[in-house]
Amino acid sequence: MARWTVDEPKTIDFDGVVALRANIVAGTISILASDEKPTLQVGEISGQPLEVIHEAGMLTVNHKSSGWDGVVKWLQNTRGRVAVTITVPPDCPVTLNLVTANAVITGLAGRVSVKTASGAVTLDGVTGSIDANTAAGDIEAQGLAGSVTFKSVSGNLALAGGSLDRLTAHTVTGKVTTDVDLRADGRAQVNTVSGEVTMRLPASTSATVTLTSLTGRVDAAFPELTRQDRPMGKDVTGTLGDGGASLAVNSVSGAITLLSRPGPEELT
Amino acid sequence: MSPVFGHGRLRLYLLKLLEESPRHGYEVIRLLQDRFLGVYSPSPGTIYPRLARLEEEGLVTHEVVQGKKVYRLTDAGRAELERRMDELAELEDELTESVRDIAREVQEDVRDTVRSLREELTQAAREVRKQGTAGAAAQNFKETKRRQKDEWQRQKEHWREHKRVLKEEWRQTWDDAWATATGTSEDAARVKLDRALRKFVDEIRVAARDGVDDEQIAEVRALLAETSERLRTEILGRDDPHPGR
Repeated sequence: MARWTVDEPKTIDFDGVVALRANIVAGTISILASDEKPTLQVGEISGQPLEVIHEAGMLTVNHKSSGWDGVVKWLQNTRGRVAVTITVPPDCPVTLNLVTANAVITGLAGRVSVKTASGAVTLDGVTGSIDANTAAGDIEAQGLAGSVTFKSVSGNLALAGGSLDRLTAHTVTGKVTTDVDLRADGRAQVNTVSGEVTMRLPASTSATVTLTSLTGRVDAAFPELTRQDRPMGKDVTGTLGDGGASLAVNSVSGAITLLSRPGPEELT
Repeated sequence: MSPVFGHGRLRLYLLKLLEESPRHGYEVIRLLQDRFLGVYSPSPGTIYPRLARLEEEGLVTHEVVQGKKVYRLTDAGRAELERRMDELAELEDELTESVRDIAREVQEDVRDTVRSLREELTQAAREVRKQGTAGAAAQNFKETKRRQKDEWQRQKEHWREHKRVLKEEWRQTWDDAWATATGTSEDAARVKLDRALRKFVDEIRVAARDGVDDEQIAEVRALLAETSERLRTEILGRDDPHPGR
């Protein structure tokens, strides 16, 4: 087992990393996929030192602090932060626990699990499965190709481009905005209380669609879908194409909008 | 596309890649992508004309292998690379620096994309709404209101519970993280004790949700005092060489 306590800018190389776990209170953490030697680079650090442990291929990076109560005290009293960049093999599973720290994750193909209180998470070209759980942090992503599970209270989810097998999103007030393709047998399920949901799918999508909002308005740009305004809420349902995939959006008071993206041939 | 390469630098880097080994154009593109962790991905339209130019200058040559052009460095190319060795070292340093900046670039890039997507979709949503008819008249207004209220109540309860669970989950994640990170069994034990105590408090709070009277408070106090006494003397004091710590 190798252990470092980092309190100044430093670079550490590792022979191999099979899994990464990081607990960061404040600052930024960037995880980049690379086939080169795994590296940890601390660019900036103040306040609490960072503890780095490398054992049997498992890399653990922790803000040294004593439990949750210590974290709360720290956030109240100090302005410590860290900027750390870690490169790992693309298939390395990554688990991040962040408080106010922000994360940038690119190119990973394995499992990515992120918990944040208020930190924002930016994902680019992640093709594995993503599990994000946040109280107030936003998740912004582009070019994803896998599955996404998102749970938040007030954090927003935005997915720009990409193609998903599975999308599950639950928010209270957080907005959900997506512009992704749904795979042939993909499943998308979005639930919000008051968060607005805006989704755009390719005009050529094949899916069964159910959009329901109790008090919010529901609009869909696909003429195949039929609208029902009942006393108890509004819904828009129907089947697009041969209905291979499925999309279900549910909201209490949030507005739901389903848009259609013309195929490239229709743009000309 | 990206300011990764300054003037003439990409040309130099191409020579370097071909010096390592003969490669075909696609391989060169892939190597550049790898080098920049996918952030700088030059298009074939950038790379192939440059390779062609190097060939015109006599620095590289190509042969066709299995229908693909494989480029290799010529002696002139090797001499050019040797002449510019200093510049190449400098370039390598700069590239390391720019890899460091990649994360920031990614973040800015994704933020820009998301921002423009939001604007675009907001605009598109507005148009769809304009076309669609306005919502149907409010029939059965009273009935709707009542049912909505019920639904709200139900949702509120659900989310209050959800929030509590989330909060608790959070604390546990952290505590576990610290305990495994700091590694000592003493810390882990302390975390477990804290958790047991917290769970106890939570359970009692929930049980007393509907209010307690003075008599109940008095009984609770007596029982707690007894429990505390017994915990300290019978269990915690037992192995502790410093009782009362």
